[in-house]
Amino acid sequence: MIELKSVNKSFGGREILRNVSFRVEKGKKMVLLGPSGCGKTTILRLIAGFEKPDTGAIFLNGTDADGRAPRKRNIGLVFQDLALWPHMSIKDNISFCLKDSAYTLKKKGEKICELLDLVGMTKHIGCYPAQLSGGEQQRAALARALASKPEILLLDEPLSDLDLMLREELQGVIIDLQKKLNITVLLVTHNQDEAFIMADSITVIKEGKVEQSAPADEIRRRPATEFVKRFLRL
Amino acid sequence: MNLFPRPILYCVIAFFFIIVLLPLLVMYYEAFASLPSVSVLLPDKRQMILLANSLIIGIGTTLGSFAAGFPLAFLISRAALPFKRLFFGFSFIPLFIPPYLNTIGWVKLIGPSGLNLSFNLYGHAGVILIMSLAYFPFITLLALAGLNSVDPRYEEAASLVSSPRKIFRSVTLPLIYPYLISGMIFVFVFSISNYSVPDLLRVNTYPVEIFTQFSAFYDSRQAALLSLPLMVVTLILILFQRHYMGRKAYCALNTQRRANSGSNFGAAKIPALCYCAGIVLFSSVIPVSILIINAGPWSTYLTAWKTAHSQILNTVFLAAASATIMVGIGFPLGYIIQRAGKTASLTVDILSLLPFAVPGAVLGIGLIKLWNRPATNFIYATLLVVFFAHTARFIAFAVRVAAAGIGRVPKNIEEAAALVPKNFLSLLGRIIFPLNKKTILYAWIVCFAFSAGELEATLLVTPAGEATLPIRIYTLLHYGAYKLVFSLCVILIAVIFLPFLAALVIKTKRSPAV
Repeated sequence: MIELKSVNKSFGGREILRNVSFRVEKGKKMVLLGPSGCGKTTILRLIAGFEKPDTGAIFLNGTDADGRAPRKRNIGLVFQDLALWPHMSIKDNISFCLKDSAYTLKKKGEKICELLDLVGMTKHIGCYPAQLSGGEQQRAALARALASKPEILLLDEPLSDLDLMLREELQGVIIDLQKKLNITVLLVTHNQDEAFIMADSITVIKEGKVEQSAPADEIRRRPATEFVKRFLRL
Repeated sequence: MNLFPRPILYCVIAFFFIIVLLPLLVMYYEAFASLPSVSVLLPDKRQMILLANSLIIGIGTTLGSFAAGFPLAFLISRAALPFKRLFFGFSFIPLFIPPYLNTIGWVKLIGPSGLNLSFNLYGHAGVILIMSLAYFPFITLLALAGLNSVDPRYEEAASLVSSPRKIFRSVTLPLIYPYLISGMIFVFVFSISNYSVPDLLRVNTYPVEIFTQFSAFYDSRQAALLSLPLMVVTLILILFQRHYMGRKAYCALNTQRRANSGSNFGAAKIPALCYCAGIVLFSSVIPVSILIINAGPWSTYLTAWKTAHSQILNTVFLAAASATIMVGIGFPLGYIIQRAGKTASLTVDILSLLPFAVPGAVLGIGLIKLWNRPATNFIYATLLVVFFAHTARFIAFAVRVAAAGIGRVPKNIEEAAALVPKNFLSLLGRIIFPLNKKTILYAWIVCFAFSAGELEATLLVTPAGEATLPIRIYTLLHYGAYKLVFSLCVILIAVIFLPFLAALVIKTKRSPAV
């Protein structure tokens, strides 16, 4: 479960987030939707622990995350530009994220294969990121994000650079994975169609403020503001 | 987001404070505490002459270096010349040959026992000439970093409507001038704080006077006060430079951007080629050749080794140890500059630039004042004090190189690692080190080279019975043992460039030609 309560954040005197509050239930998928520069990525960075909110609180699975280091939040994150470690093979990228204490060497190998199998990448196990296509890198980044068995998966516009066919294919992969692993997913996008395909609920952001946060159906039926209506082309 | 745990960063900052800042604080505190009256601070006639000498040399060397360094950078970056990679490689060399070695070479060539030319090296012109040939790489490297950072599309867009000359004036130059100003400030700062070249060529400048006040009269207060104008001018310039450069990289370590492109230069190609070759010849090939020729046969090197092997070994050991510590401390500081919040980054950035503002002799005096006590005799009476001197003098280079390298690693690559439930050592070994290993290697090599050639601070702090190779060369020079001096100069150059060659050999072996 992810819950933001009245979160504010400024950079260099510029207000990026204003009184942001929303809640994603455990095992559900929420999409953060809004135009470029509205603060969506900042919300993910706050949840991951890379930035601290100026005021307000972030709760992860019911406990206040304040002061908790990113590695102690049990979060997986797929960055917009993926951030695969270029000096490691795909196998090593995933292996590095596995908890050492949880696996023997043999089991580690099995787990890596299992994760790559989940995203359909088994044959690329020994490749380096630079040797993969955009879609393959996307899948590898997804497998890496899942390696530490996160309770929460954050996805920062993971499909924005892909062509339509590949995007639809990966949307399916993410939906299947979420169902199979029953993890809480928060996905950032500025693509309205993608939002409705992927989301159980949607939070629409405009200039750092939440315009509406509700189940996808409700938003479609009852957009709360003129901006939501126009942005979602309803 | 910073992957280094806070306790490690605090230890690094504490070490930096003790090694670099504390000696200066102690020295200036003692100087001001024993000040008879404020009027002592007012410059007298002698000081005005010193100031004029230092300014003439600083401005002259800056203009001379610009004249040598900028056209070279422009031709390497923008012209389709043969041997570009060779010129690029040779443009680094003078930076690492201590200027006093060049001076020894040029004095031999031009002086009565050489070509006996009418040009008198002993004076301002000689100092400016030699220091310009030693410091022009600052301009070349920064100009190259600037020229290679300009997006080719800007110039391509302008080429549809303008002549090459106008494009250079209106598009390229405005985009790279922070780099040029920064390079010129580096040259100015290094030339006004250089001790060895004015000393050898008998021009009295601030560093020479500071050294004399302390070594001849043991007047540390006067030496400290003398260094103040130099410190103030240098600090102002460095802050100005920081303002201009921000977090831009200070060097471009390759010529790849335009390696296969560039203007043909038509009829100007031959003169351009001659210009590049001339700079390379005069700045490194000729002075080093003179030293090698005058060193004589192999037997001289054998004699040199027998006479000075302990100084040679001291030099290698000290340079390796201090380079390792400089990188060990400089890397986390570079990390803070690139990755920490604005205030921490700015503070560390400015403090790490401070050693550039301190002449070697001043630092030496500070170290003596701090460590010359019974309780710390194990530092003052051993090579540890020399190690401290080298680390303090050149750690700024390690910080700059590290910050430039770290800045090139995308931030989110490290953020991805921050989410992994692993301890710091694991992150260091698997993520931080592999991503930055080239930077660490470059920083180590640069620090080793500067440390091996260090003279000014070492001259003051070396304990009795111990010496380094530069000290031995300087002493023998004053005794007139020229044959031995030349061979030791060649050995010192070999020591300085040994890690460069090792790195080059390893790189060549790892990437065979395809």
